[in-house]
Formats: sequence, C-alpha cells, structure tokens
Amino acid sequence: MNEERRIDDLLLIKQMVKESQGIFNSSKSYFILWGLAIPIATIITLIFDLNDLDGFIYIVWLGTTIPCSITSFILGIKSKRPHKTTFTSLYGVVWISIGIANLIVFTFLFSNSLPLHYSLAFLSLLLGMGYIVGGYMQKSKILKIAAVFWYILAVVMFLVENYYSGYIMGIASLFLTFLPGVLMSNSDE
Amino acid sequence: MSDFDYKKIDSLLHSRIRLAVVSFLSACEESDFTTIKKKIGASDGNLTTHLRKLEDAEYVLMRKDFIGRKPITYYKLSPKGLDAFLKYVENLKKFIQ
Repeated sequence: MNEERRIDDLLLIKQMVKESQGIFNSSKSYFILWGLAIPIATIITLIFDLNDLDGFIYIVWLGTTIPCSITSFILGIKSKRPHKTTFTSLYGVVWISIGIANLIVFTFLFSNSLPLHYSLAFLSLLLGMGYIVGGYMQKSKILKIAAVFWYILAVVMFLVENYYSGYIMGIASLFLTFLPGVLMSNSDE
Repeated sequence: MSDFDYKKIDSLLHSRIRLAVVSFLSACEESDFTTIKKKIGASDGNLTTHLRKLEDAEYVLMRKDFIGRKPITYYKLSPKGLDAFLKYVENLKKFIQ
C-alpha cells in the first residue's frame, strides 16, 4: 500500500463522512400543519372576539395546540427516515423542547399571569431559535430568513403593548410557517 | 525503510467500495440501501456483494422494514465494524506520519 493510496483512502473517508452527515430529511409537513392551524385558530379567535365570546377563546387554542402537538409527535415517531443521524435525532429533540416551552408560555398566557404581547414575544423568540437551528441543519435559506423575522417580531412585541398582537402572530404564522413549508415542499419536488 | 506493515491493514476495508460504505455508515445511526447506493455511486449488484461481505464479517447489521408497501433495507455499522474502522483510520494516519 503506497503513500498515495493511503492519502486517497483518508480523503475518501473524509468525503463519505461529510456526505453522510449532510443528508437531512425535510420537516415540511410540520410547518404546513402548524402554519395552517395557527391562522385558522386566529380567525376563530377574531370571530369569538367580535361576538363577545372572549371566555371561550382558550378552548379554541387548546383545541388547536393539543391535537396539533399529538399529530406532530405521532408524525415524528412514525416517520421512517431512510437516513438517520445523531443530528436528525437532535433536531427532533430541539423541536420537542420548543413545544414544551411554548406550552408553558401558553399556560401562563391563559392564566392571565403573563400579558398577551409578552407571551407572544416569548413564543416568537422560541420559534426563531427553532427556525435558525432548522435553517442551518436543512441548509434552508427560507428558514433562516423566517427566523430573522420571528426575532424582529419578538422585539416589536416586547416593545409595543398591542391588543392586536394575537392577530399579528396569526398572520405571521401564515407567512413564516405555512409558506416556508410549502416552499420547502416545492424545492423537494 | 518504511514502517508499513501489511498485516495491520484490514483486508475487508482495503476494498475502496467497502471502505466507502463503512465510512458512510460511521457517520449515521442507520441508512437505507438506496441512499448508500446513491452516495457511493455503486451498482445494485456490486453494492449487494460488498454489503454481504461486510455482513458476514459482522461489520454491518441489516434490518428489513416497510414504508407503506415498499420494502426497505436498512444498514448500520456494528460495534465490531466501528472498532475495525477506527483501527483502520488510525493505521492509515500512523503510516502517513
């Protein structure tokens, strides 16, 4: 075995390891699911709000977030990925952690111990974190750009006490969650 | 005089295609046949033969599953395979140094 062959072997190993680590299965279905659910729940909230049914708004959100969380969890467990790395498992854990954190923020929001705009600012921050991790792992510019917008939205919500924060969040979900999901789906095809 | 010792080279990993497969699997938990084939650039028959050799040597573990009705074969590196791979890399590095 000559020197050249040994170097070639090491280069081959390096290349194969890089190839293997670089494969990442897109998580578009979660983005489409949540990107549709949140705006729909926002529209229902608006209808309830206009009809003085404020007391039932929490039911709308519980009725949206709990089934969506369960669906996401089942999707995550049942999805058979052709290529599984430690990074892909780690990415799943990141989103589970963000989901739990969101649930805690939501609980405090509905117990009225946290103002609406603060709660939504925290949610935006958490989503920004998830998106930036996803953007780098999936090498997706769409997610990276969406992450920046979530951060900007968080800053705005922390600064401005706005009655319409919830509706802004609903619209943001459509553009920053559903749209990236659809765009990722198209680029996959 | 070179300190190269051919006995230290694992003959199974001496094959470029088997080395590529083991390197690829070393960086993931498991991968399916199609993904390995696509990334290695080998033909079905060639890859099957080499994977079988690695399986026989217990370097690679195989399991079969279904996605819908489509059968899918997963491969992963066994602890024995990982150990052999790390030794192989170590030897290569030593020889170069």
